[in-house]
Amino acid sequence: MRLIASIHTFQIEVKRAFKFLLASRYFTFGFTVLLIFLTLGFILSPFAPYDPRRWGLVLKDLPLSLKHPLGTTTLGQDVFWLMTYSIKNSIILGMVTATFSIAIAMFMGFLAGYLGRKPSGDLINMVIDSFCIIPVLPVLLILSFVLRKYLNLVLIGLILSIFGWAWPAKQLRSIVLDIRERTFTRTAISSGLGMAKIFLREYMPFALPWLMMQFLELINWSIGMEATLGVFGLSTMEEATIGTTIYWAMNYQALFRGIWWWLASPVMIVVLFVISIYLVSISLSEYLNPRVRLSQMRKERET
Amino acid sequence: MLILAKYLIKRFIFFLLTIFIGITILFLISRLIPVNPIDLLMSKLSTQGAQITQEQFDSTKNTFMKLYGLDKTLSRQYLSFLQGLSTGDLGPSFSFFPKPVSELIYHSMPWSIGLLATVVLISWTVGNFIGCITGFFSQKKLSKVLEGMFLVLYPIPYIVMALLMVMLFIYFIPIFPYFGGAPIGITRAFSLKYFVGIIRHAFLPAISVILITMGSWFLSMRALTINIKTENFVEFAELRGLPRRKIMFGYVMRNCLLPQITGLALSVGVIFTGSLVTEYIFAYPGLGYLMYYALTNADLNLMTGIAFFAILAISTGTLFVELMLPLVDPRIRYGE
Amino acid sequence: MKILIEAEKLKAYYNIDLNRFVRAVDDVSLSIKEEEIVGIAGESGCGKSTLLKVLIASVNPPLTMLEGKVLYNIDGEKIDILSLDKNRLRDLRWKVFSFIPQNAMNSLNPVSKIRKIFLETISAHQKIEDREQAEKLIEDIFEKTGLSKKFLGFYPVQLSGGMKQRVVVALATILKPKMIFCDEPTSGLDLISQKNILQLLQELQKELKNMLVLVSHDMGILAQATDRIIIMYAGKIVESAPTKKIFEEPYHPYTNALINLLPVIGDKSRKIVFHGTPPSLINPPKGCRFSRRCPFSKSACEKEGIPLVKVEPDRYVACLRFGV
Repeated sequence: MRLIASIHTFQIEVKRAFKFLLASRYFTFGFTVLLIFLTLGFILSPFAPYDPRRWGLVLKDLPLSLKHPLGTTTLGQDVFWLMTYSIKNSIILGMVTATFSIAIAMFMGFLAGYLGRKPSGDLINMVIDSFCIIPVLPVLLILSFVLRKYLNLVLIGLILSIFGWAWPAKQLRSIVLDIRERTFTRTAISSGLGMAKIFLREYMPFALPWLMMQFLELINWSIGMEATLGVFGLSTMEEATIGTTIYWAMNYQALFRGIWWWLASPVMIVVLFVISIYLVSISLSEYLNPRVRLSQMRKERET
Repeated sequence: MLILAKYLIKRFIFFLLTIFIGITILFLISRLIPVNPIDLLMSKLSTQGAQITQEQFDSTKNTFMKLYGLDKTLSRQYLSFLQGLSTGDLGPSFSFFPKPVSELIYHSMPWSIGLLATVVLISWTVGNFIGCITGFFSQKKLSKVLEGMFLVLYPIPYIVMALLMVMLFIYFIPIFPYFGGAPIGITRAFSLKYFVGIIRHAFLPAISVILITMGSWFLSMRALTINIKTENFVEFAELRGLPRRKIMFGYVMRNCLLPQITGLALSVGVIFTGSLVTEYIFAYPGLGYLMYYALTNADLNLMTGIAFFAILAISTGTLFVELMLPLVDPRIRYGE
Repeated sequence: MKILIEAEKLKAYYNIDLNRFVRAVDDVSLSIKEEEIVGIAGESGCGKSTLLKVLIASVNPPLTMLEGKVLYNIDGEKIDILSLDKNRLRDLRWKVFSFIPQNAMNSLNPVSKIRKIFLETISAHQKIEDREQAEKLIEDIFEKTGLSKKFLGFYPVQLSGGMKQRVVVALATILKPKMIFCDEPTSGLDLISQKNILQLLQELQKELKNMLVLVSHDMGILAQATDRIIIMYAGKIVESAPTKKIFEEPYHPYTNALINLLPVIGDKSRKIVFHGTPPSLINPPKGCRFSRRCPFSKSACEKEGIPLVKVEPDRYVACLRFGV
């Protein structure tokens, strides 16, 4: 019974959300592009006539045409289908990274927030900040280099999570500290609520919107990092990803041989994808801002 | 005074902690790998054409093992690792054996530091300045246009921006030169020609990183400004009839800069990562390019050395910025 | 004594949605004379702070003026400050009228030294050819407000709450304006500081002979410091009378209730707490807004708006029981 009721409220909530969000041009653009990408990546890609991971299936170096909407590569791949696979893999990688990173971030963030301004809390805070500051690229390059043979999407996601958790944890800590210092938490503690219950009932409603934003930001970050690792030849070589595509394109001097579509496609796709996710995430955060929601609810009560 | 002392001590502890964590991670990575670095080195040397007997091979290998301390226990290796680092000895590079890693880093370092410093300076000052003004006049059309522009630029990954720049300004509209950091064939000197040459080569990489970084400062400053505009002390200043310019700069911007300085301290690492990969794309002779070289040559020592140097440099940079904060925020100097 | 401020039919609403307003100040008119000390009293949400904002022409969105004028009598000329252009208004600020805000704690720029704050305030309104001249002004006001000169080199963070409040008072009086407005000058302060600030305001008033408007929910301090009190309820003025008369014999039932709630030493009688809460200001009821909680209300009270009526030469009440 409870489950049905909560699903119902969830549906209303979602409808309300879309009504507000679609009013913003930024969101509409971002969301549409995302939907297109999701379609390309997950619905279309299984139907690829040429498996993009194999070389030599099509004629090389063909420019854009009806048959090959994004041209072909020097390795004999169709760029369009290559991109659909890459989009799919980027999204999968993004989700893996985001999930692991947020899991670690929640642990560290809540721990730091719980310990507050005590010396132990300060220490954990410093550790979080250290991981925020440490230049990620050199370390990740070495790690990926060393684990070259075993790299796959999940492993890369794990590797990225080693540093990916830091910024979300930092934000989470400040949210927890902020809530702690408000009176209603003190009331909850003095009314005898256990720590776990406080955590769930009081903190989560505030933390959730931030976590959603962080999730999306992490997906963006992981796409960028995978492309970076790929350029150095350290992404997963068996799968078709943005990073590996750029790697091969650069290796074969695509740009200077005039095969610009090989490089331009992954670049433009990343640009569009990343911007859309960002636009969606800031629209979401605006929506989840408590003041905005209150006025929305009031508007509804009238109609 | 007490609060200031506490602040300084904390910052210094943080500096040491960061370096410590970084070194530990590097050590763990370099020792717990499936490939023995000595085997790597040996195979590298043998491909360079040296013909030696099995006996010589084994004895050389043993010497190296002792040299690198790989015959000791893990914890002892850690200690000698730390020892070596503290004296600036990063070991010999595999690719230019036996040239020391520190020497290679020493040559590439100025290029990277120069690029990073320029980028940070320009993007922080310009980004904050425009961001504040836009936040102040948020209703004007120009503000909305600028906001839209940076919303689009900010999320782009550094590498993708670099590639975009290459495509746009080197390939499609060939304005800029591609390789290196300085024009080839001119001796290093303090001549104007050389200097102009450097700027021409550094321009695209710098712009590439600046566009994104400036975006982040712009957006955060704008949000801060809109927030601080409604603070009590700003309202009181308006009610006192202070001229608008004074309020914008002396009250709003001045107070917004404080969290932006803290933000800068935390972001140097990210900006540095961005500029490293940009260096590689533009074949700019900094640490980024050196890193690529190390990778293609399986030069683990060089890679580790660069990573260590990066951690050291960033921690120092962060500490430096954090030490600036008490100079501009009286609350840290005198707070209760 | 000539009249310095005349407010006519002020309607100031907060715009919370496309067509929805909170009627914070609903058809309020009043006038204040030279050298008068007037208190504006009422519970939270009655509109007194909003009224103050209107009186000092600090009307920013979402607050909007639907109707009304605020006429200042400056050098014999009556000027509606609500319709002045920004520059002229800025010119008048602080020289003609000044404001002491509620949160002195947060009203000073954290990154400026006190001296700088004073100097910039002065130079915004008069040309300082002579820096010494400005310094003299500052020294003067510091003496009057009992502030030590060493504070000039301090940052706000180094001062205590009471000190900051004094600094703000000094800032407000340094250019010797003829009208000073105060929003809850004593909130957030301990009792001793409260007394000190009130005393300070009164002393300054005696010397500068300015008109003082004190907005407060604390009837106790208004009783000590004011000549006249205006009582507000739910966006309207319900009574306006000399302080003594209000406390001796309050006319409006709400005023009565407010005063009866004040604790008196030795009085052990039970206080009558009146039920209910003030009405919603988004859709206020027709007729008297206090009628639902009023022990004397009749059906006539809820029919139509009750005007503020002059029942005595210096007394106004908005109640059907007193002269219609």
